[in-house]
Amino acid sequence: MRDVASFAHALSTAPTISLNAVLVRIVPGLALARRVPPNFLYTSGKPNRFNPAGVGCVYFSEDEETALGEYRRAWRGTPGEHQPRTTFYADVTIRRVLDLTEVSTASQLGITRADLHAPWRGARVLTVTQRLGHAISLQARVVGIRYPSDAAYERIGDLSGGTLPDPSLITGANVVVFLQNVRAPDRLRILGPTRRPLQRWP
Amino acid sequence: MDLTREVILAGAPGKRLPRTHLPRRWKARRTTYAALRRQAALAPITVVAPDPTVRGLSVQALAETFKVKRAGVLGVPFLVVWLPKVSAGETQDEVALLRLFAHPERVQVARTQDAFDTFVQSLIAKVEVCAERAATGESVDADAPRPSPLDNVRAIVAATKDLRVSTGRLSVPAIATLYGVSVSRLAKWLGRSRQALHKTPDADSVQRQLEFFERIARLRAVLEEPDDFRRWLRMPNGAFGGKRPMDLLDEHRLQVVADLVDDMLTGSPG
Repeated sequence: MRDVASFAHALSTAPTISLNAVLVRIVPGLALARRVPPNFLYTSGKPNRFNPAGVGCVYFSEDEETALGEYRRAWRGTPGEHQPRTTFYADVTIRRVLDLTEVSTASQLGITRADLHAPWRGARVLTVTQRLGHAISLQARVVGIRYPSDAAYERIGDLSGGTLPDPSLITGANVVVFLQNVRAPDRLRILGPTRRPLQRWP
Repeated sequence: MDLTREVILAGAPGKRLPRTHLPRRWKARRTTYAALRRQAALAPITVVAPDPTVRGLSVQALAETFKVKRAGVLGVPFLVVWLPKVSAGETQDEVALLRLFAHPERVQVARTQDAFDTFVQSLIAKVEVCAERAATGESVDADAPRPSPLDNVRAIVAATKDLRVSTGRLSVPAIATLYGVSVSRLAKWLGRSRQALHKTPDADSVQRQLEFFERIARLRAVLEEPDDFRRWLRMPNGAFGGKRPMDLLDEHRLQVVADLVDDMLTGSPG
């Protein structure tokens, strides 16, 4: 278990949820708000927590509070932490999402809490979660993952004096969508000021 | 991004090729030159046995074929040229032979079975590590940052315009000043000599590599004061397990830092 082949096998029967939600991203306001926003659906194939390099994914938070936590963590200790911000929303409908905030689902895949919060930037080898993402990119059934926010995990840890947070206290979740697996009727739309979305996929 | 763990052996029909002793998960496959030429992507390791008596199978013809071939995540594939017997009339000086190839560093000439075995084992280890690096986002021969979703956002790109001189080229002194480092240290990050950078501080040859530093400096779209940017470079960063961005620059891991800046500016959760 925990290598790409084993994950690929386990994904064929892993429990999934459907997700019909408005997801959130918060970006620095001064630099972006008055101009053209970034292309949120552009994937340069850079690695992230759930994808190795070369697998196109987009990441969002499930609500404003979690997105703000992610933003604050990224800019902590800099003037950016307290600058104006802009919030973007993505309307998402996906039928099959792996919910790793559910301990039973994570356990079935052999994924531990430590795996979900392991540092991944600059890792010399693929992390467990990146191997899972690689396996997802090789199949068509699962399209996304809902996972506990690392920023929320860290925040609760800080509040509890650095001890391992009680999982039940971590309420913030993020969602990663594997763009190549998104097929209609699944969809992802970046909402804009009119009914016409700024971007859509597929 | 998959790595095909395969060694392809290609030779003229009836030509004897070396035996392969491969580790678990690796396979050998024999093919023809014609099939090899048609393949859009090659296996990471290809073994060829040139035959000057057959049209299109000279070393020169092979070098032409391999000039444009790529091998997935590895980029330029490794090539083992099998030349077990060299008659007096066709003595191949190895330097002359390697000169024919666009990427001589990726070519090995094997003249005995033992040498062949050693080369292939060593190349397999290299391929495994290169594939690992590529999967974690640090491509083996990256001489410029990967494209970013912010490349077309004018306000972001404008934040680094002071790093360019009037010709539009990125300037080594401007980057060294912004980063608060000496030209010597910047030269180390670029893998160049200090003298070379001093002599031509906006040389063509370093422009692509300097783009990494321009990409990282996009953070100034938010941290407008140069001091704030320099402070960020020197702050322990949780995203890097407590290392400072400067530490990663010292380790030549420029893309990893550029990726973090992209994520900060696009609000992508990590």
